[in-house]
Amino acid sequence: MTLQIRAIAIYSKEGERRDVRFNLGALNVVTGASKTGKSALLDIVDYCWGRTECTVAEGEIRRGVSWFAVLFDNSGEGILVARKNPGPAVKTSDEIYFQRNVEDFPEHPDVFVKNSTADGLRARFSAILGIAENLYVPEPGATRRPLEASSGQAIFFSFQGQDEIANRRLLFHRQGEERIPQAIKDTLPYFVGAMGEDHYLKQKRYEDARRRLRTLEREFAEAKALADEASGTARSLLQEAKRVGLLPLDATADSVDDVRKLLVQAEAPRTLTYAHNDDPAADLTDLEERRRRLRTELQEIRDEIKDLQRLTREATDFEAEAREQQARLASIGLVDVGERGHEVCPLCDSHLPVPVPSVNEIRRSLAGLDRQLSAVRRDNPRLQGQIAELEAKRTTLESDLGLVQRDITTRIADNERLRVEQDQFTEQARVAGRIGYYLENAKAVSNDDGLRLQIARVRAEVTELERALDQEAMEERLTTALSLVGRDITEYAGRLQLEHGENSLRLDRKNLTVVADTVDGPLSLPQIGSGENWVGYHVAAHLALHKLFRARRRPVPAFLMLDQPSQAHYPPDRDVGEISGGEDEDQAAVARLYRLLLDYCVGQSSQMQIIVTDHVDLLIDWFRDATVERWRDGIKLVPIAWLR
Amino acid sequence: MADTRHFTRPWRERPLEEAAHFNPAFCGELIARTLHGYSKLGPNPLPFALTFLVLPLALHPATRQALPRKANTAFASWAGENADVLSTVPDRVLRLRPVSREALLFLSQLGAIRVDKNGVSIGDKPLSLTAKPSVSTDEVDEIRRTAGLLGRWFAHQSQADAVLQATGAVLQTMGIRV
Repeated sequence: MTLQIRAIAIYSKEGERRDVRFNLGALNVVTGASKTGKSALLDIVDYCWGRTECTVAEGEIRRGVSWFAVLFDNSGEGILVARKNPGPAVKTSDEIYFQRNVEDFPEHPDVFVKNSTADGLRARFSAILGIAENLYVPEPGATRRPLEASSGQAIFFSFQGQDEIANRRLLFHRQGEERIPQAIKDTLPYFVGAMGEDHYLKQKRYEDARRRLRTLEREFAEAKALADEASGTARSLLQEAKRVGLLPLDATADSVDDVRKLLVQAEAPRTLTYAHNDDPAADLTDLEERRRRLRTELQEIRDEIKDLQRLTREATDFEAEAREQQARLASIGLVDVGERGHEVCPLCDSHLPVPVPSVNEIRRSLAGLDRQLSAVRRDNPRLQGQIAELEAKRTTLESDLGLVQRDITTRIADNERLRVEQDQFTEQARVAGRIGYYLENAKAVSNDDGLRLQIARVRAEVTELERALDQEAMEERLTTALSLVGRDITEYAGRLQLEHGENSLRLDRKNLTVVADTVDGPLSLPQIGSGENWVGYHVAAHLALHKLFRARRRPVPAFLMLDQPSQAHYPPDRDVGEISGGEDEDQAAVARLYRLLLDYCVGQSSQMQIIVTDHVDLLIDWFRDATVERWRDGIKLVPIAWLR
Repeated sequence: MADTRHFTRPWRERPLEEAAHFNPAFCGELIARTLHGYSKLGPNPLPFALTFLVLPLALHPATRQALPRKANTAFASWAGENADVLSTVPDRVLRLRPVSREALLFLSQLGAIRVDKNGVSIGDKPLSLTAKPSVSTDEVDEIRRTAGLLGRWFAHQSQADAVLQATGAVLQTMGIRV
């Protein structure tokens, strides 16, 4: 797969066409005088490749041409790209016509309609070249964005403008423009094949794997932290479960797993046997009411008994008194004398003012007392009976009261127990809930084995991809590629007999220049003098690079356009026209250069096309064979007839 | 303080309690018991003044408790030890004077005692003190026993004057007429 140029065409405003045809896989020389439009060929190809700016010099061409067209050859397939001439003083035109699989230019530019954009054009060329998805990721810390190599960069290796080929500071096309050097540096590893076609894929995979690994590792760390923390939590939960009675007090566990098992056991739903009582207080109220009633009754009975006892006591008191009196009156029993005068003093026989009580009187008193006493004795048993009855009742009431009191005490204790029980159930439910929550969370932690396994797998993947991607390996491959290039540069420089060409030469990727490693130290292109050397090193570097591209079948266009490589020997103002190529040193040098280009194309077995525009015209057979256009004596790119 | 008015009335008009408690039969029996106890130890009649001490000493529970249990206790030393008890005796002697007098009259009328200038001695119809009364109480029994003890105690004193000195001074100031 090579991409070369079959022909370049321009259309006049009237629709006339002017072709410049090239041979594929060979050296093509367009020779001619100054100002004939030789340099415009390079600019036209550049423009039709999708360059944003039309660099075709102002003048006849910009004035007289309506469309620029290039017919590329992609391994036999004709690819036509036509861009409208933006016209004088306008930088660009967005009218781009792109068509694949064409044999030749259309006769008339009427068929050219805009069907692509510059970006689209570059993308198509990328696809045609077979530029795989790739991404150059800058070294860490760089601020520029990752750059994807595309046809836009591939073309840098195919042009050497008039002002570039002899520039000692710029080795590559457009190297002097902003950001371009970095783009060349970044895409060079891809184009020389140091990256590998699947590098981009690997890179993507690697990044993806890295991201997954980071996520997993974070998850794992979190899970681990959680697990560490959780084991402490689990133990405290275990203690709590034991405290509230969800687990037996002697339950112990050594490992976290055992603790978890116990917790599962503790958290398991269980039937709670509540002491069933709709309203525990109601019963108590009843009992208290009953107690109050019993107390009242008891008090009444006690009062009654007290009354009766008072009655009895009073009767007893009376009886005792009466008995005393009776006992004292009974002394009359000692007297057995009958009635005698009591009103007369027995000693002096005088009349007593107060008569001494007669025996009969005393006896009557005694008899009265006897009657009273017998009445008392008759009444007493009734009272006693009643008291006994009341006391029996009191005893019953007292025992009832005792029962009620005991019931109340029991009930209060029950209520207390119930309350404690309910409190405990609540506590148990609370702890069980906490355990459940913990276990739910801990479940995620417990299966971290899977996570560990996953991490190991992803880590292995990352390692594998890292190895495949290995930046160092890439650098190594790049070094290899560049050393190959360097070897070829050295060879070509030797053939061109360039100064320092005897030294080992290399392409300095960092500075985008050619360096000669001399015994005195490295010499870069800017340090090497002479325009001949500069041109020579440019050519050598490009040939070497393209040799590598071709050898490795890299997606770089297989053509190289050189503008005025002879300028170091024959500046435009020294247009000598035809030279024999062997008359002096300059002629010999120019001949060596063209011979190298010719041999190079042959050596690449038609895989490389070199188009050179120059004003020298070597009078050598092979040069004449390679010459496709000779623009002198009025023949130019733009026919004079168009400029009427 | 109960006065002596009730005992200055005829029997029927007296309050039932006083009439019964201080009936002449009972009080007479106590005096008779003292007289009999006194008479057992000697031929001398009981000094008249001492008969007025029997009821105040025997009927008053506190005094009765304070009395010696043995008849040979010296009255003087006992009186020294029980001065506080004795301090209330004169007042009671005074108040029970009509009762004592009535009892003496009652006994005299029955001929149970004989009163002469030497004192009181057992009459020709003495009370049969060994007979068991139909009814009795502990207190009455104790009072009876005390009355007998008093008679023996009085008899044991070498001279009746010592007893009277402790109590009789009062009696004299009260102007007890015999």
